[in-house]
Amino acid sequence: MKKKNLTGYFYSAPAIIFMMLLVGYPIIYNILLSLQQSDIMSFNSGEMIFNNFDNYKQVFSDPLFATALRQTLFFTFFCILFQFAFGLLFALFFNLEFKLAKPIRGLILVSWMIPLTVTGMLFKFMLSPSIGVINYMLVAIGFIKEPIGWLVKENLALWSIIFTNTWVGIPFNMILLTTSMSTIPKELYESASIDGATGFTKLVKITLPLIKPAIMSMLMLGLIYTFKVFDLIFVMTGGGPVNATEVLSTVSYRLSFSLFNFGQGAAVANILFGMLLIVSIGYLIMLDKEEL
Amino acid sequence: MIKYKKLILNVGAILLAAVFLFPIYWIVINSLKTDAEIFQFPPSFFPGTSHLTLT
Repeated sequence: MKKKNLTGYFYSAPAIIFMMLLVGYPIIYNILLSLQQSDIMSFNSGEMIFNNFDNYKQVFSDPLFATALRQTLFFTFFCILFQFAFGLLFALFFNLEFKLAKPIRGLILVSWMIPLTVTGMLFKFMLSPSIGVINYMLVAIGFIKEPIGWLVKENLALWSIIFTNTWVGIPFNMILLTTSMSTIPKELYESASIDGATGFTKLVKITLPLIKPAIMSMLMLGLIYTFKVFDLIFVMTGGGPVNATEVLSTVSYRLSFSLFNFGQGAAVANILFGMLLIVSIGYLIMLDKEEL
Repeated sequence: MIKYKKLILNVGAILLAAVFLFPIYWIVINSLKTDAEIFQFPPSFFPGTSHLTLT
């Protein structure tokens, strides 16, 4: 019996060591860092002093943190909303039977596959007020009178990034939804048609309940990916204009690498991590209840 | 009737892809432009390829 247990530990050892080194160590180091006074001065002297949660106190009293938190939530909410709505529409459309459905569905996935930095650069170009093609086309069809600086206006910058992120996120949502839709047996729809159900009733009563697990896991993944967005915002606006697109990850970056206040940067990163951890645990508990 | 429906669906899918994948097209043609052509306004949608050589 004892030997059997040992074998089990032996088999799982590589995975455990891997996780501890590459996931556990950075997290624990970050938590320790966030509890210490760690800036250029302490680097110079080489000693790090635990400072009684001072980093967290300072971060919470910083008005920039409140702004960033609000904008992160705003950004996440609208990104998820649009991604999900358009992803569902696309999935329903490509789930119809016609010749080009599969090739074009595959083609649309390209926008999800290109690196986010490239997407950021591309949209920065396209949204530019002087040479941007989006402004050019909107003026040409008469939607706006003169080019708009989408990324330099305070009230539009975050919306422009939401637009870009939605463009990236739609194919991801679409592909997850279509794959789970294709597992629904056709007989269900046929018998529903015989009973006189309309297309909308079929959608609400058959499709959505059956793909609910896929929707939940997709929303969860989308939430995590969107909540910790960094590259897109860093490339497109860098948090500007006047902090209008500052989110938690860019605040953490700024505190760490332009103000060299590593303690506070780590504190912000930990707050971000803690929020996602709570959401993930909530999701896992919910999943457990569904299974039972 | 069913034939027309399929045709409309196919055309719709192509239009959707054309609008949705326009940024990808933009990346590709920008890679074929000269610097002057990239920064010109109004932008050119079909860049000339006469300046491209195989050296």
